[in-house]
Amino acid sequence: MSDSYTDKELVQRVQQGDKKSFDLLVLKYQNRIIKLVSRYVREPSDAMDVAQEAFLKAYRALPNFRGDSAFYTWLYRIAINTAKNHLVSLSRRPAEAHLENSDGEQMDVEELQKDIATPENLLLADEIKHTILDAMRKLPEDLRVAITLREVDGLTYEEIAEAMDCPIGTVRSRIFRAREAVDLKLKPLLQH
Amino acid sequence: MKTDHESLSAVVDGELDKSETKVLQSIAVDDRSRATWARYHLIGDVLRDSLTDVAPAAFSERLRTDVEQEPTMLLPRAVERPWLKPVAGFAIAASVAAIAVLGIQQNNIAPGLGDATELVADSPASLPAPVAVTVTDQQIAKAQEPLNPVSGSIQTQEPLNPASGSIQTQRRLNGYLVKFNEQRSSLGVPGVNPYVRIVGFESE
Repeated sequence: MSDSYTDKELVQRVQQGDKKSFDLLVLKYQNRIIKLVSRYVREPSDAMDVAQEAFLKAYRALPNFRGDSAFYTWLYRIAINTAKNHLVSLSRRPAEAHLENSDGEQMDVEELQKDIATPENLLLADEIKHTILDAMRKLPEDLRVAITLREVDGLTYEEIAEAMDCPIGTVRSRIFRAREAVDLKLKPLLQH
Repeated sequence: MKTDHESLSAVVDGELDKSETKVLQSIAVDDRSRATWARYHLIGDVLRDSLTDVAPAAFSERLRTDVEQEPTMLLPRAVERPWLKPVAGFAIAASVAAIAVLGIQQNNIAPGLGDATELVADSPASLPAPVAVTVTDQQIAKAQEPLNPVSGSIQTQEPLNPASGSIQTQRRLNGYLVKFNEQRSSLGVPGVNPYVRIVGFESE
């Protein structure tokens, strides 16, 4: 099994009508897609909006997704195209123009933009990074190495077990304990 | 439904045991597990330096609302057949090999059909012992039509050796072969032997 196995399973569940599984895909990829879109769309609030549009487009296109490529590769292409279309539409309309679907939606977008573009949110991002990296530094070496090999180097449990000369079950446990320790510090930051 | 977080951690890595496939479902329906799922992925994003802005809770909440308003998909679950690709590949390879073998066999048969042509084209010195070819009167008469308006019944129990055969017989045979090949070509079908040039000659 691999990371793409989880995605494949989630995609199949969505295709069979389980909308909640799409939420897991959103939670998994939202930060990566926002970062990707931010390379094209400089304004942070616009980047969030474009990222949302990309996810929605992906959901609508999921019946046509056959799994020939990895889900993230497919989503990545949709996000880039959405960002490029956004730039094209910006060049065609007056600078102050905004989304104009319905009053309700306009309000939602404005609320979301307020959430995102505030200095508090940027501060929160910095704080999250600092907290996670600090918690990582304090981890016992075997836990830190295990989670780094997994998250940064993308090794499978089997490869990590070989590299660290330990059973796969130990790798699984070490990675979990590392995450749990970091999460213990992270969780209070995200509780509003 | 409460999810064991060690299993959740394994799902994050796509390293779930087959006995734990229901964990994914339980994460999707449990708010706390879903929040843990999001935080575990956030940790990964920070470690990979994939974090610029943190998506606020409103980001996924709004998407959830939007998706709820979308029509529900009901596609049949794709049946996994991992063995199908290699088997299909093998079947195609076997078919190509079979066609190639048959083609080679056909080419081996073709020179036999083209013996007469070769015999006509070869020089007399290189010829083996004379070969007797039986050609019916009708065939000869038909072949002769454009070349020789005079037709008649001819006995062709003669060897094909141009040195020993009569010039008239050789001409007729040449005419027959050329005409036959032309007719086949005009129908889009290869002639007696499409890879051999038919050469006629006339001895004086």
